[in-house]
Amino acid sequence: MIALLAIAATHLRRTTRSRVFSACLLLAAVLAAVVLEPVIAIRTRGSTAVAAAVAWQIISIFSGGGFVLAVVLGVWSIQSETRDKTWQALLCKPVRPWQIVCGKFLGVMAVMGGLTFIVWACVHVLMAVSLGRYFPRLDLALASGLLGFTIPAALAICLSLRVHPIASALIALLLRFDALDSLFDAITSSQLPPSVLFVPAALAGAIRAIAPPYEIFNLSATLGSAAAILWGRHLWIGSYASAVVALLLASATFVLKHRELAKAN
Amino acid sequence: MSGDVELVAELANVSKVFLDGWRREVRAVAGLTLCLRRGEIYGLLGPNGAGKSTALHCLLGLLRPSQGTAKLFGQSVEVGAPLFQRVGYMPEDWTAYDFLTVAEMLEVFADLHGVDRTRRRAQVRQALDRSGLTEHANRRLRRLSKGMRQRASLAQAILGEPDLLILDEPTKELDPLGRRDVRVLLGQLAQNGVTVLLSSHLLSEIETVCHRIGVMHRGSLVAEGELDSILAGSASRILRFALPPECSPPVGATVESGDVWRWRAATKDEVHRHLSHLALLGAEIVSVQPESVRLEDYFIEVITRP
Repeated sequence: MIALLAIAATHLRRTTRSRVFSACLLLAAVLAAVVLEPVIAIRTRGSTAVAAAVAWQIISIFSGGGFVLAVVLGVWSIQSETRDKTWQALLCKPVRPWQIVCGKFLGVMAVMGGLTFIVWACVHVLMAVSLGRYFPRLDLALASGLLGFTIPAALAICLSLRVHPIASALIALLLRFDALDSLFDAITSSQLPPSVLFVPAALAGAIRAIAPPYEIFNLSATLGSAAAILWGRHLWIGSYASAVVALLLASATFVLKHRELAKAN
Repeated sequence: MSGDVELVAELANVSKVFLDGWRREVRAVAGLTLCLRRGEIYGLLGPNGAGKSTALHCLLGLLRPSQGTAKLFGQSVEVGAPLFQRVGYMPEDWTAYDFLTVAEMLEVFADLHGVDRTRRRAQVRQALDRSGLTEHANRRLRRLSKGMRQRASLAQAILGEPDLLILDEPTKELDPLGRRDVRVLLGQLAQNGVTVLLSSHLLSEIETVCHRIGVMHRGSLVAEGELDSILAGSASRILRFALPPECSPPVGATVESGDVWRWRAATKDEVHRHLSHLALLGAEIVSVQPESVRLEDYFIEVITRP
């Protein structure tokens, strides 16, 4: 357990002490400022619907961006070890491979948990300042968003053990590609003007992936990913097979979505 | 190998084949057999691409041999096994966790090594002392020179008082002072019963610290033996003699100092022929001694053999 925590803590330090992470935080602050700009409009108009939409957009941006970040951090956690040759030193210690994988996973999720906490605090402040009340569904959405990061992060870590880092990131992203169908929902259901919505909507997604009526496809893809992770020695076969299955499911989701839209029109 | 000698590490008929490109096989190690005895410093030599690092990786379980077996302390090697508590490894060109300070990095590796929390601080301090890094304990590794980073790498290898130390090019980036420190440290460790496997290109280092050496070439061990006997065990002899004033020296003899001449004989027969010739000349034989060999000459001779 000590070894596992040491690996997790090392990854957490690696991430938080990296220049890339500092740059990402700065970028997030700029992005938050851009997104929070409509707060002025909310205060003048006092519209509950608009305030809620802004809160949802913040969560959507975080969910979409966080989903990609979880994959990148997962791949990076292994790739940085192999690049620096610390991987060899790590494997020559009395630490089982599963402990290394779990330690890395804990490290990635600690980073994502910290970011989720920051977003949660921001949303709370936003809602308290603009409306003086809070919607519990936002907490639920953030919690499920954090849960949603676990699969891509774990998948990215496991794939990186066998596959090239870029290929690992692509496969991990593709396995959750089905989440992007919520992009349609984000654009069509919002009350804000499309120009304000377009960029956040493009980043949105993972959080809405569990929304009906497509949960069966998402569930299948998630199970496929989990099976790939648990497949042990033949991980790469499982990963590719899961990627193919997830791609087919994502395609089916898109076809169904298009048919539904065509019917509605 | 006699039964009363404790074998610490063993590679038995190990081969490792890699696939290079589309089904083209590259044999990095071919039928390598290697045994390390307790308390010895073994130098593994070989030109670039000889398969030294692959052999070390097979021994440590980082690579699975295509054929043969690798054992540490009599047990088959498996990644993450408890026996690695007795092993320290220093990889080549290691950049460590450069975002950590030296002390933080050593604490992480102490945790990974399974060092008891109560002993951790003392162990880290000891490793810092032994590797000469006490003054730099609170500096980030990325701010240290290459030589200092190499010392840090050595410090993580000796953490937890391992019984077997495997070092891949440990003195590559070190200055002469650092090399001397490493030599002293390895000598002390060997005296305490620690077995050291040293892979290096620096023959002078090997010559100074190792008890036994093995030379790898094209994946195989082409020569192995006690360093002292290798350096003294050449068949060639040097004949030193003084000539009467009127005599001209034989062809091939060179002046060594003053009146003393030096004549090399490559074989026993040649020694006899030279001695007969010198007797005919009336020369006074000063000495007949085995020619001492430099490790570099031996190494080059071994790997250029047809």
